[in-house]
Amino acid sequence: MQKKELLVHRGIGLHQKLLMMKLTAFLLFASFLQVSAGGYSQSINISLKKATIEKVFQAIEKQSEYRFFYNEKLLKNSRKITLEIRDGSLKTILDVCFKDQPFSYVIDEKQIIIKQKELGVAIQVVNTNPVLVTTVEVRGKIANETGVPLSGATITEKGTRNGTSSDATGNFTIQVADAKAVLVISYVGYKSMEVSTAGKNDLIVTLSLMDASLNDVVVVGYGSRKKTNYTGAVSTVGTKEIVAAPVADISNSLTGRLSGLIAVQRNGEPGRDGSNLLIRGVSTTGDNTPLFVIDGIPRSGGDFSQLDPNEIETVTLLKDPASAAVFGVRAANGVILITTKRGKAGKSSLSFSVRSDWQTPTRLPEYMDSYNYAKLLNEGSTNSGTTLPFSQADLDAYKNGTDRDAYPNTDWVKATLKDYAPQQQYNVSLNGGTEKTRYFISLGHVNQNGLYSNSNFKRYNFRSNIDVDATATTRISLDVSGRLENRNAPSQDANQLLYFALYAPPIFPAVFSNGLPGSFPSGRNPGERAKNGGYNKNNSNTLLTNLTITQQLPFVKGLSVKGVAAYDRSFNSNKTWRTPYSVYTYNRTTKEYIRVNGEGINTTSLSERFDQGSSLTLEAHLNYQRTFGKHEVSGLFLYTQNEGNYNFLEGFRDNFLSNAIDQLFAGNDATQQTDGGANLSGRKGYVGRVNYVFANKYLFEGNFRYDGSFNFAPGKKWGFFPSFSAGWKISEETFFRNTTKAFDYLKIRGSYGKLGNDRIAPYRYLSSYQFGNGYPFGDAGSLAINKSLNSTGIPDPNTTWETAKSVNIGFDGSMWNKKLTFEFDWFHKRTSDILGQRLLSVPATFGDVLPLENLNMVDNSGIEFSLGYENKISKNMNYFVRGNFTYAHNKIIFQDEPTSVNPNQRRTGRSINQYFGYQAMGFFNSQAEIDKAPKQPNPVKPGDIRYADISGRDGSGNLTGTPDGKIDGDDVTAIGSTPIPQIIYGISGGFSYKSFDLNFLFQGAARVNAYVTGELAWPFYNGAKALVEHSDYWTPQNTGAKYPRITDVPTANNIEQSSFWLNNAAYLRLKNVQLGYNLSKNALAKLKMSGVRIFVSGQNLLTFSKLSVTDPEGPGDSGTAFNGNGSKGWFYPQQKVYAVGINVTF
Amino acid sequence: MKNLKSGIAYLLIFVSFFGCKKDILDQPPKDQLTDASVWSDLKLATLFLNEAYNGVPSGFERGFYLLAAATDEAETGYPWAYSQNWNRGDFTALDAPRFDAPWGGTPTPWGNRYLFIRRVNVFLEKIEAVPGDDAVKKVLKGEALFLRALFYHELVKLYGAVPIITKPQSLENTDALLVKRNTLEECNTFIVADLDAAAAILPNKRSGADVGRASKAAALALKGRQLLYAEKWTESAAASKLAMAVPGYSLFPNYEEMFWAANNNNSEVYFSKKYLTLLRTHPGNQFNSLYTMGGWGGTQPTQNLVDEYEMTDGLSYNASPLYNANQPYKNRDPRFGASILFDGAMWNGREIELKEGGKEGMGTANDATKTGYNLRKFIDPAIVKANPDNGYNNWILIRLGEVMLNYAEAQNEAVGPDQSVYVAVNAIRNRPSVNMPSLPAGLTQLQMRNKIRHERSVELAFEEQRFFDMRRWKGADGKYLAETILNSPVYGLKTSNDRTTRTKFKLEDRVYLPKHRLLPVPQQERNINKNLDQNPGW
Repeated sequence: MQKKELLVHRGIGLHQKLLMMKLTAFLLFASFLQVSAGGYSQSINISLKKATIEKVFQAIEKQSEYRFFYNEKLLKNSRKITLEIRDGSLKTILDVCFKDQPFSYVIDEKQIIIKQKELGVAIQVVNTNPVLVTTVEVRGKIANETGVPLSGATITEKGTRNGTSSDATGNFTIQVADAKAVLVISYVGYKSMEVSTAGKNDLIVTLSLMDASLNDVVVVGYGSRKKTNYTGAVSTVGTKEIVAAPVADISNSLTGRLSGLIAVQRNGEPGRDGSNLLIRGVSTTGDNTPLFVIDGIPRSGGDFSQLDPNEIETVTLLKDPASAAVFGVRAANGVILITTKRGKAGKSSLSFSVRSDWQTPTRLPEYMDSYNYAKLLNEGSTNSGTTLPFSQADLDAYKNGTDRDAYPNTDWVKATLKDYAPQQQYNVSLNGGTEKTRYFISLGHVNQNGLYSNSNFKRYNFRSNIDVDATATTRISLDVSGRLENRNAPSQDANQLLYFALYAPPIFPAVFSNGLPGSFPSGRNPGERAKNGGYNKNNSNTLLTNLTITQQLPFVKGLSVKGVAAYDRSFNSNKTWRTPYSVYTYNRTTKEYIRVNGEGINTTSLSERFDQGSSLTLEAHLNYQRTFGKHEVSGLFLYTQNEGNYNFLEGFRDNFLSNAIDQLFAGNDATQQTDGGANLSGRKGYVGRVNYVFANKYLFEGNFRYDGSFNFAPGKKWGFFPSFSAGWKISEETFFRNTTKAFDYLKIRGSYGKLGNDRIAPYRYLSSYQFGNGYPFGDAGSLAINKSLNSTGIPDPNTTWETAKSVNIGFDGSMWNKKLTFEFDWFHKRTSDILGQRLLSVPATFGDVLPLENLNMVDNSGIEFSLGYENKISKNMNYFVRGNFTYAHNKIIFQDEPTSVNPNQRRTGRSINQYFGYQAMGFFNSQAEIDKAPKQPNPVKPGDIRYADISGRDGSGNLTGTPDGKIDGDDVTAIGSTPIPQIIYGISGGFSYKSFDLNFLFQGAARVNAYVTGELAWPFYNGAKALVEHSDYWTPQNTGAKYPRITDVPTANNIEQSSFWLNNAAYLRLKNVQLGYNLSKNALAKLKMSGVRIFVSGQNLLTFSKLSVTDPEGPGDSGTAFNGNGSKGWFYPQQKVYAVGINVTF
Repeated sequence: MKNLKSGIAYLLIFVSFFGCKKDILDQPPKDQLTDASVWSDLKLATLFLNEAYNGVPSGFERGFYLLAAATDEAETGYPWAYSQNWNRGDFTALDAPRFDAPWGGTPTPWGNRYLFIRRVNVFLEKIEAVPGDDAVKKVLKGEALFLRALFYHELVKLYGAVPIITKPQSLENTDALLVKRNTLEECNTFIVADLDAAAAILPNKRSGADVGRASKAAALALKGRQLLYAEKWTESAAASKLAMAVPGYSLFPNYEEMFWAANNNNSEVYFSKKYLTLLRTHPGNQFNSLYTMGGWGGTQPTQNLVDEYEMTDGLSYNASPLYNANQPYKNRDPRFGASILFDGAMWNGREIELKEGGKEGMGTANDATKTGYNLRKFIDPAIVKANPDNGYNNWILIRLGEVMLNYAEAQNEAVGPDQSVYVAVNAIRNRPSVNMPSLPAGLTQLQMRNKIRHERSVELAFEEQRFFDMRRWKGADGKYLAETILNSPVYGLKTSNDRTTRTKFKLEDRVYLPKHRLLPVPQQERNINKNLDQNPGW
């Protein structure tokens, strides 16, 4: 430690020196300013002749907010300065003035501290007589990987103290000793680079981002923080990772990237394939959706997931109360903060990226061909003792395949779904500006095709983020972004089409030999329906705007105000045009093709709906930030309000005379229907935050939000949501430093707070009425449905938000010069006041549906951690490995349940969405086994599933909890876990060698079940076909089979809800791989480009899972409602994507 | 100074952002109406009452079967239909069979009735303070009282004595929610009082756009039925007599077509559950009709019922010279052919073949008849041809034919077979499309009782009367008829392909225990409310 020096600010006060870092500190600060959107570029004019350095200081102080602190004695030996600078940067001026002075400077916040040069340097300085040396001038330009010029980068001649910095356009000039000099180029947040100057006069230096930097700034609610000083739990992913995933919906690019995020993608339909994102899993039986905040304004999940990935700077999860509490009554499910890119001063850079993708299903069920199907069905019929559906002649005909019109062999899945569907993405962005005006403009387009006709998603994104420093203390930012989303689909939804494709037996033709479309009963043909059965068009237009004005208040140092107005508007139109279409059946005897109306649809109908919504957010912020010696203090107070408005109008007509005009007027007006409605919403909030850091070691933060929501009764609208957090940077302690040198930084932190979730139906406190079914009164001449009104139920005047009290303890740090970074969090959250119904206390004679009340309670707890390691093997070779892990487990603490409920079936004490059913014990292998076994719920034969006898009742009907010799409803018990994974993890890595780089992400989920049922599980269920793997069924010779004995219809016993059909849906995926090649600098220079990258990449390339019949994320039944469509495979399959692309930066 | 000025200017702008706005937290709901609006506008209040009409039960909405399938009239086509629980008698207070809702919905009529009773109680409580034409309010109040009486009538029919709740209960006092069952006498008195009050203020008969709303005639008729069930013969006869005397009602000449949509609201209808083509339809035609004509064959008449139909000479088939075993359906009471599709019947333009090997004979499909017969009553050929699952023929709850039989039965029990009893029964037998001979003169009270019981069985077949008649009529042994009749097998008839042999066969044994006279009070309800007694035997 150096001895402390006293510094004087022209006699006003004494200040302690804070930091010992030199230039890096300044650079850190400069970058901090840029990232935090609070930094100001100063332009200073100075014209002085032979002036003392104090005069320079005064001039700078007059024109900027920087203040100089120094010991006057130090300046005694200063040299006089002659200076003529127009629009110079602070840095330039200081560097000129401090050249060859016996002192140097350090910038800390807005303070410039002057200090004595170190001894060795001083000796050099003493030797002030200029030594004449021959120098070589080297010019160059510094930019980042995307070609954005980096201003303020440090350029030093290796082995000397000779250095300079790049200007606003990234250009620099430096005099070096000789042509062989090596330059060291560094910039905060980027990896340092050594460049040889040999023979070059126009260097182009591209710096690449440092991956895990201590200097990271994290975006938090209503501000940003130095990551090392932050006491909450957040995880962040940047543009690079998000752009890497060749997906249209960016919610699919986050899975496995962020600790604390549980994501499940339930289907893959173009434009509707987003993942369900849950921060720290499920913690309420109500709505678990997190709050999405884009550039400071709460917005919809769609506003997030439909962003162009190239617009995004960072995505941050606010996971713990300390981080989320500023969003008060909407924060209990966590917050996903999105920051979009902003312009950087300097020469504008134009980036262009194109990507072309091929999508194909990750996994589809494999079905038997018609011969094997027929054979198996015959076998099943034999076992069931029913008439054989196929004669030997039939079987032969299916096998020979000579007459496929009469004896088809159809792969309906193939007939419905194409093998591949193309997808393209384009983006052009322009980034640049002057010191005073900066802009980021981006245009993006994605075109995602589906696997069958009429399935397509097109999106156009636009963004313009402009920052203007109107005065030295005023900044105005205007962000305008918009998007058009056009979704095309068949008139039949994907679930139903997939159902048909997965159902249709192969003995029915999809296409006849003469090209006519075939069908399976009754007149169904999913591919034909998609193609000729009309369409569904959904066009959605969204405009999001932010106007922000920030004003530094000159009268109080460190104080600024900010006003924000954000106005969003969205329009959505949905149109379903359903037309009759033709399919054919074949009469084997007459060899006739008989036309039938597909699915019996014989009338053309049209329904149209228009929705529009608007949202106006107004905010006033008061910010304070200042450092007093070892005390860093900052505070925030803000007021925010939001007003939302939504309405819709819809109409329907059918019996169109012609299919020529798909407009409502052309339909039958006798059966027309219209509907419409509106919603208003209003919210207000006061947010406060106080931040205190002592000695850069002890960190404290307190947040509160006082929130008002229109949802609740007068007098019950407002709630107070506080949070507290603290942290201790052990690594700053001397004792720690003395003990180990391995740690660059280590921090322990904890937070506690109360958050709310107001995502419940509004106006529950009002006694309200909705139109009921109506009733037809009147004689023949006046008969009409008379409207009727229905009470919406008993109001609950005390209704309130869900309250989550949550605690978070964690640590983070880095080791071995940032090679290893790590982060760990443990959390526990108790959500109370969840809406639930009193089941027991009110008899039915009361006569109304009981109101939901704030009764239920759920605990959710878990851990998450992330680890990263990066290293440089050689000059040309880098690699990194990173991993993250999230585990969240919830438990219902209270839910009104009758005490008489079988303990095995109680929901209390179990997870939300816990599966229940019989416990399967394998198969009965003989009649003797059946005779000895407890009585099964249905008649059984050898080869049927055997269920466990768990509980029964005594003579007076009371549960005994012991087996009673028969399987019935009392034996139903909790089985497996839940359909939402409790564990999600990701392992990513990459290495770069010269111009090549390779990045990959493995992602997995565990502790998750999928109940597979219906057509996807049972052969011939409901007349459906059979899977290839259904051939592994029980026979006396094959007792270890996967499936029970084969019957022509599944036996009642074998389709009971049981653990037999509950699958372990854990999986591990090669989620993303990207191999890139960056054009060499020489080639770039020739092309006059600053960057060209060519890459191939893939998404979901490999999936490892025990669930063999479908994608493990697909089956999505809720666990309480079995036979959901997801569990039967009725969903558009998840996609594997292969991509090639190129990025060009000018 | 320049900075200061601009700073202040911006502050002013910010402040003005927020200064001029109403409180945005007080947004009114835009997609629903509130208490304040509904009960200050008579039109909206009327709409609230309209909803209560949806609580009126309908045989067409019970599911795949008519209640008839839970009696000896018919058998359901489906082993899993809820009527089979009755026929097997294998249900308990925990899982009493569904009665109202086809699938899902309120599982017990208990809860469903009280749901609508609450709505009517809310209406009756609030209507007084609603500003508007008192005459209009009075009629609405009358409708509400009628509906409440109907809902309690339905409850009492099924459960016997039930708790009477006349005001909407509040959740504030949960102890008060644990109501006790009133006595059967109190229930009867209460229902009659509501109907008297309703009759006093309702118009005789509704017309024009009000057709389908409760009327004085309907209230009196229901009162007659309620008192008949309560075995208050004199009062019942008096009420039915008044109901018959209301002008504007007459027997509809065509017995079969009375139930078709074209004759919804015909001259015989006192009260019905109404439907409207395309917009408010029921699946009754589809569920219950012949499978080869768009139906699913849900309700199949039994030989037991077939045998009940007299020959045209007024004698039973086994006593009449008109009966020919080779042509058993010839010379039958015309109501037989109008109600039951038999082998060889002409229907919808062709001969129906229920014989073995016939077009729709047994075993031709899952939905084919199991008894040898299919339902014809209620099934509207026009609907079956066009769109069988969208039926819009009304479900008639009370009609003049029933009122006359109610009168005849009550009067016969009160004073014996006087002339007015003959007049009532003969009017029904002499209906133009029926033309059955009048009852022989000089019947004893007992003979007349049996004649009336026969007449009800035939005239009101499948109209959900027999289920309750069996539970209130006693035989010579003093036992309820249900204990004998619903405890006996039902039979079907096999007709050979050449129609030379007809074999009566036992289709199903039926189980009826004395406790089955009433539904058990749902166990779940008793778990909550300790004050509720259970019905005997449960």
